[in-house]
Amino acid sequence: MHGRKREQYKALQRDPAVVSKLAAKAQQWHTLVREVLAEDSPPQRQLALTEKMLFVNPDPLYLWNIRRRVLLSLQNEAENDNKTTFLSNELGLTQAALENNPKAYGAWLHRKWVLSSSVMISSSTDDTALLENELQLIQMFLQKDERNFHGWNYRRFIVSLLLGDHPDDTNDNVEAFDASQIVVTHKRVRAPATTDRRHEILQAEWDFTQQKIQDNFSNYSAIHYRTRLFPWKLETTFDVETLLTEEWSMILNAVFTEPDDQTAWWYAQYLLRNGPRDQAFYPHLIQTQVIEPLRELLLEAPESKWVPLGLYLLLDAFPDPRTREERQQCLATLQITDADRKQRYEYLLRQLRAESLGDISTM
Amino acid sequence: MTTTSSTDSEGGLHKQYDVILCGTGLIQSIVASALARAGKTVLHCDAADYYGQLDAVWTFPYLQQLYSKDENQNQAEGSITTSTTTTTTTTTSTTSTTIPDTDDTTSCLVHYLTTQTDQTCLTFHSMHTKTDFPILHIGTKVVTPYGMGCIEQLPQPPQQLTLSIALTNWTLTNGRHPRLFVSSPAAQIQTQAQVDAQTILQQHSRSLAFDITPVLVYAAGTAVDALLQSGVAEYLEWKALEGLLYLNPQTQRLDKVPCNKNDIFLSPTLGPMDKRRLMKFLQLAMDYYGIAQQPQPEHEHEQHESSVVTSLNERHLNQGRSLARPQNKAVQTSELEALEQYMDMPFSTYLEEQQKLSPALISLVRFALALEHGDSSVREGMRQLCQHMGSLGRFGTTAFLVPLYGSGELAQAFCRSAAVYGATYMLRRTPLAVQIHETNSRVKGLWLAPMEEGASPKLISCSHVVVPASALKSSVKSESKVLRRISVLRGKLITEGQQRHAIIIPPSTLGSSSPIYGLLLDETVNIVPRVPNGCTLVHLTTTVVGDGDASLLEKALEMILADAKNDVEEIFQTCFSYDLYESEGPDSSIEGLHQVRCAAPGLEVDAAFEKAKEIFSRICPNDEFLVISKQLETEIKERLGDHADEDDDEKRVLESAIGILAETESKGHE
Repeated sequence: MHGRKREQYKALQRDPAVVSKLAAKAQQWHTLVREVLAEDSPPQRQLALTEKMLFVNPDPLYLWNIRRRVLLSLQNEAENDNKTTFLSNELGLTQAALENNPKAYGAWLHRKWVLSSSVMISSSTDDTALLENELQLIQMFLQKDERNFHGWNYRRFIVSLLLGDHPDDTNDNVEAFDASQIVVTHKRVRAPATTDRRHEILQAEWDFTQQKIQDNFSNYSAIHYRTRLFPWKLETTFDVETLLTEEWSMILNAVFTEPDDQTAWWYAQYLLRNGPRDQAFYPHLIQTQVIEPLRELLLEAPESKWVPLGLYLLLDAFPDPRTREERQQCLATLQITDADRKQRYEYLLRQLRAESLGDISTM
Repeated sequence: MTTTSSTDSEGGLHKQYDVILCGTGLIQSIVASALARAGKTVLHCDAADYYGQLDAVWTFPYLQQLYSKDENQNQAEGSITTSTTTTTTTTTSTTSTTIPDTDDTTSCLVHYLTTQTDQTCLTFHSMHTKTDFPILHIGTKVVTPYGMGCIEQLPQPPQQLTLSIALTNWTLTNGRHPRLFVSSPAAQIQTQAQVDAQTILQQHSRSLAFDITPVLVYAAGTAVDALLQSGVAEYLEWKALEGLLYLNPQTQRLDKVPCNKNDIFLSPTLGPMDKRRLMKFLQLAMDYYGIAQQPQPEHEHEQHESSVVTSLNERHLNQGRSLARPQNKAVQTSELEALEQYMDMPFSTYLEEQQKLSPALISLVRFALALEHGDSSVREGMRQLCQHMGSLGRFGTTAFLVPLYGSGELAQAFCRSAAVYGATYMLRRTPLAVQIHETNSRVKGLWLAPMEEGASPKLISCSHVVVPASALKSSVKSESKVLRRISVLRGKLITEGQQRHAIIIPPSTLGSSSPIYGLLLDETVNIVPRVPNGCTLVHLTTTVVGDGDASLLEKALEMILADAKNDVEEIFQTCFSYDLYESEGPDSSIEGLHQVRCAAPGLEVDAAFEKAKEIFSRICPNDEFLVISKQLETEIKERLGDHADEDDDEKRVLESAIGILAETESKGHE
């Protein structure tokens, strides 16, 4: 829904022809709501009506709730054959609803419920192909709007299902991507994936973020997902030095192309904190392949806010008395160019001074 | 369309027209369409029997026929280089037709025209169909009576002709290909290349069409605006150009031209500092473009928004606007002010001294982004650059559109639309001379060659005549010539996705005086045959000084082919050139005589529309250029109608839901 002009939209709503059409629709909608919410409404009819209504408007959560309640009540009657019809029906409905409004919370939630509930899929069924199909679908959604966070969340949800992660033990698990675990009464349990399979799945996800970043390096969602995968990548990569050289080179390319794009700088901060700081090559790599080029960039783009700030953060990550003056210089520049955050830079300068006093006292 | 047939000699021809146009080249055709819309009576004639002159599209047999005629003449005259001056016997008879001496036709008042035929305009340098395919060696792909194969073993010694061929179409259970042993290869075995060449040039030659002047159109600009506004766009179909490539002088490889933020980010050839400087300069250009564009209301552009680009996200990314700064960054007003001061400086000097770009980057910006032909000023360079950047993201991934049925369609479409508005069309009628008024040096009429042999020429009166500069005997030929080469390749140069690519070869790559423009087209454009192993049509165009070096374009093609990863090979080529004329002819003092001068062809055709507009506004200073008439507009609106209700899915679904209610209720009552 980006790029639509509010004024045009509002003007459309003032058009009498449009108003009368909408009024007629509202009238019908109210009739339908009354019918669906009625105590004695037969379940099959509730299913049929909510399907039509959600197709028109996928937002109302109460309609999705009714639908889930009916599906649960029908579960005992459902044979395995019936389950597949129910499943494809719900998947079709949510897909149509999401094409209508890609940001309908209710629809995304319903789809998650469908895939994690044993009501819809028996635990014995092999659903790998189904889940992989979901990944394809989500790729399509992210093609249409790469900034749709629902899509990214859902992708992580599907991946966690594929991996067979359990929501209960995910708290400390760095690979648990899905922060929004939903409450499911009849939760289906999937067997955890084998180690090889796990790597295969995660590598595909790593490559997916790479592709998305190459499409648009300002895609914060893609970078965010990459940081969620990074610990696994760091742990399993044989040649850590090459991995980090490549990641930093990507950051540098982005930063040189557009110094004030915050996404790359954010990833830089992440890599500074979470990179292999204990390995000897890392400070050297940062020094020669990041800090040195950034010093050149600072001369080239003095008006930029992020170059001096980034340089300061990098130098500060490996504090060295020899760079103290340079760090001071960066902060002094920032006090002028980014006057809104003057006090922050003041505070950082005070810290620098304290650091230098500390040096003197230890001497 | 009203073309007179040979039997109905002067039928339908008035004695008097407002404007007579000679030659159906693109510019004249656009002018004719605009004039007819403005209510002028228009006669448009052409000596040839097809539309378009040098903007025409020719078939393969026609091209071959033309070349053999040209060659015969040269042999007859015992010369190879004088073909520009030769005329065929039929045209000689028409030019020798004398205009009757009457009171007002004293010779000084008649400006004779040269006959414009294909033979007189084009100089062929070469035409070659490949017949000698290399002899068999190990690895050669061949076609056998049992399907395709690959030569595995050559006999030793070679006189003993027994070949071992792996049949690649078949696979045995052990995973290997069956083998075929052949004793006399000449009889049964043909190389893949030979078969491909035969398929393209013999069986499918009717699907080949050769544009004499292949053009692209900017996705936003004079040409597209004119096409849409006039409704002529309805006659034509287009596809987006898939890629813009640049033959890098340093690496001699084809690189993608970095047009937006992400191209720059991903470019493997640009160093970090190059990325920063190029990006900064392009952002400045976009700011400059924004200022230049301000008076134009935004919604005018939105109107023609197309559905070709599938999602908003994609559009935004491809767009020049992806160059826009992040919200936290201000426009560099000082840079903009500085730019204003350097407007008359040479563009290259500005890029070097003010933008501090490296020589490689300067060449990239000048030739691939600003599409500069020669040396231009900052003003001209920035205008071109902004035009390019402003056209990005409208259709597909580049700023350009390719006509689906050849560029020759364009001139024809405008002629058709002129005819719809009442212009009279006459092909095979040669304009002989322009008649000038005795007293006030104004155009009085045009002498047309007679329809029948032996009849006398006919004077048709008019107040304006539009002629190609090349037809006026007094025009001065420019030092430069347009050199063109058309090649047919078997196979595809680019296999990933569809192949509709433009290539820019900057002067420094081959030491040419102007950049060389290339166009690669495959069967996704309907002028290239659809054959099993693919076919590529390559157009190469450049401007050379003097006679130039005809082998220049051959070298260019070799360089492009050297970069190809696929199995491609040239199977047909022709190379020809034609003259350009000096910008100011001596006849500009005659009122009502308008000259059409072809500029050195670049990649796109927007300049032709601007020229046409200029000529039109000289003839009709107070009329609007190429507007559709009110009547037609209402007709089109009626035809399209208001289908809003039919598309209302919501309404349909709600009604069916209410239907369910009614159904169950009636069941309940039963």
